[in-house]
Amino acid sequence: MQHSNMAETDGAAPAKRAPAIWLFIALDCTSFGVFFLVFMVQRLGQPVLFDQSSQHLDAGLGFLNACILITSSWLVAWANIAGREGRIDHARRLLLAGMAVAACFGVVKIYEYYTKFVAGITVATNEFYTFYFALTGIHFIHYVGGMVILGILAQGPSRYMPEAMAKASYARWLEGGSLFWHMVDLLWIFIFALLYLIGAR
Amino acid sequence: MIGKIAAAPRNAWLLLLAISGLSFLAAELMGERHVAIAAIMAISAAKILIILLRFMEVEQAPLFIRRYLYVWTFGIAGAIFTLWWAAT
Repeated sequence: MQHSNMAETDGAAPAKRAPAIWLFIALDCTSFGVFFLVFMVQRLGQPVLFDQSSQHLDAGLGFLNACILITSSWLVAWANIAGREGRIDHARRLLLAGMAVAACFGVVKIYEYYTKFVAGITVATNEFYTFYFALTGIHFIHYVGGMVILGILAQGPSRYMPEAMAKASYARWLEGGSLFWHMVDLLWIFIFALLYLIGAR
Repeated sequence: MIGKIAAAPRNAWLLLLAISGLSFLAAELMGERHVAIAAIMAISAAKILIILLRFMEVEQAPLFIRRYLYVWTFGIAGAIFTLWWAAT
C-alpha cells in the first residue's frame, strides 16, 4: 500500500530515495552498535556489578518509554504517508500528535535522571552507570534533535517556493525527518534491552 | 510471517506494543535466564525488523544499506546474547 502511494506521488525510482539519510542511519547505527559491544565486553569482567546496578533502574519506565517511542514512530510513519499523498494538513497534525506523544519520553527520561541524582547515583558511581548516562545521554541528544526536526516539519512546506515545488520538497524532507525519528525509536529498543532487561532480576 | 502480520502500519504498531510487553515480561518473570535473555534479544531484533520494514520502508533504501541494516540488527542481537552468555 505504501509503495503504491509512493509511486503515485512522484514516480521516483524506489532505490534512489533519500540515500544520504540512509547512509547517515547506517553510520549512526554502527556507532551505537560499537558502543553496545563495548558495554557487553566491559560487562564480561564484572557481571555481578552490572546486574546489580541494572536492578536499580526502573524497567517499567524503560518499557513505558519504548511504548511511547513506538507510538510516536507510528504517527510519524502515518504522517509520512499523508505527506506523500499531498495531504499536508493531515501530515502536520500527525506530526504534532507524534511530537506530543514523544514529549512524554522526555518527561520520563528527565524524571529517571532526577531520581538517580537524588539517590546519589552519577556518571562516576560505577562503570555501569558511566555507560548508562553515556548511552541514554547520546540517545537523548538524538531525541532532542529529532523533536526539533519534527517541529520544523510540522510548520509545513516552505512559503517561499512555488506550491508544487514546495510540496515535492516537503515530501522529501518529511521522509528524511521521519527516517531519522524511526532510528531514534529503533536505537531505544537495543538500549532498553541492554540496560534495563538483561540484568538479572 | 512477521511481514504478513505487520502488513499495515497500525498492525505493526499493535504488534510492536504486544511484543514489547512480552520482552518486558520475559525479563521480569522468566526463571531460566538463558531462555529469557535469548527471548529478549530475539524480540528486540524482531521489533527492529518490523520498524525497518513497516515504518522506515527499508526496501526503498539502497541495497547495500538494506543488507547492512539486516546484518547489524541480527549481528548486534546475537553478539549481545553471546557476550552475556560468556559472562555467566
